[in-house]
Amino acid sequence: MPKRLLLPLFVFTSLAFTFESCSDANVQNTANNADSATIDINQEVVNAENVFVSLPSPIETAGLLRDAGAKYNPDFLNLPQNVARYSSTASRALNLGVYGSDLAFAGIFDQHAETMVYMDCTGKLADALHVSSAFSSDRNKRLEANMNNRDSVLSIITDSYWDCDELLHENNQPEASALMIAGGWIEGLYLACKVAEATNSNDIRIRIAEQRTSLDKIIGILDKQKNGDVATVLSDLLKLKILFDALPKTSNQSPNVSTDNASGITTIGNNETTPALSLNALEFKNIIDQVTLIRSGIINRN
Amino acid sequence: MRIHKKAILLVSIFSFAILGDVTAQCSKTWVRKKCIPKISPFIHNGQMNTTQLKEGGKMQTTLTFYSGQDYRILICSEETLENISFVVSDLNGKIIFDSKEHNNTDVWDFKVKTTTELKVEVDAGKNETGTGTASGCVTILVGFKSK
Repeated sequence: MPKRLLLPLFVFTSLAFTFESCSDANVQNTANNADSATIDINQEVVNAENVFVSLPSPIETAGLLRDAGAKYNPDFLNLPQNVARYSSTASRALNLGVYGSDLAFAGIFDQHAETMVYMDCTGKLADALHVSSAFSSDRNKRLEANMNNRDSVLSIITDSYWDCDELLHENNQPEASALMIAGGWIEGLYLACKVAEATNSNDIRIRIAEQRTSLDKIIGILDKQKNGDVATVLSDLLKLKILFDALPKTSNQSPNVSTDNASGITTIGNNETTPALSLNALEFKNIIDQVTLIRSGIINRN
Repeated sequence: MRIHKKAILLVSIFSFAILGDVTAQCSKTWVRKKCIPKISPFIHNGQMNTTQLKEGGKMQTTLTFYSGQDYRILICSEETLENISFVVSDLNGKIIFDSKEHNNTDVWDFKVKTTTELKVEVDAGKNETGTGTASGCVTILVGFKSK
């Protein structure tokens, strides 16, 4: 028995040493780099030992939609009963992101009952991915108790999303984290497209056109993972990137900057001198078709 | 048998001690406890850009800010780094905000009318005292105000 136990312990200890060594090397590298050059954290490995880079939670996207005049429509969201069909790690991670965006969408539009339903969906998938504490029953109770305070609701949702991402990394599931982020982003873009289609809102089309930079960042995150499921999603997003790259480029001019003398608050940009980039009918159709195709592939996975 | 049991126990304790040390680096827990509260009354957008800097080092990142929103940029660092400052510039390098011109503040609130990308550069200046080898975690956080 001792021999049987000693071998795994030896392996475990060796791994621990290796982990520690890698960690030290990263610290050293970072520190040395800091001496000689600026660390551009956009270029660093996502979630390396000492460099964490994450995208905004779906809350900001949902908020942008609401501010642009979107109306809440539950028909756009993934059906809550679909949660039972997701049985693989990839489908669970992707749809955890999808439901996370739906949760943010319901939360930002003060849809209390549906916020709880989607919190439950995300909780089930988090549980299946062994990161259940991100959507714990305590957090559900907090959400319920603060349902009339939108800022608290948004803060709890952001915390849950953040914890989930952190726990997936701690559990050595960076691929699942990348898929969750991708699923959430696609769902946010899908919701924006559906709302823009329903309302014919130019403001929301502008928000869609502005997602090019986020898409590049997500592709960068997925590209660092070698998992087969990640490769499939990456391939889909690269097709979407072709459509975004074909859009006219925004102005390279420096934005106008003015500071109010009384308040001291600085304002960047000027709507009149720098019109925002929008989408024409064909560009919008191409993007919504591709996004719908990708999103359909995600929510119909098993 | 007794020796083996002691060996197993020692190896286990040692291993967990090592792992404990590994996790004691820049973490979301540190950001959550020390930094997130300072973003209020803005809502944290969930984005985190964190690294470890040695005094004299710099970090930078490029972030997108959307039109119609009010934002707060917060620079949060460990106390081991005494001279943190930051500069915000547009992608042409034109400086929009320099914390050194505002009493080395760690926050900057602003409004955005045209969606724009801005570069945020954090400078961990040399400490006044010490051996010049201090290091610590630094994070750039963004908060927004929902209408």
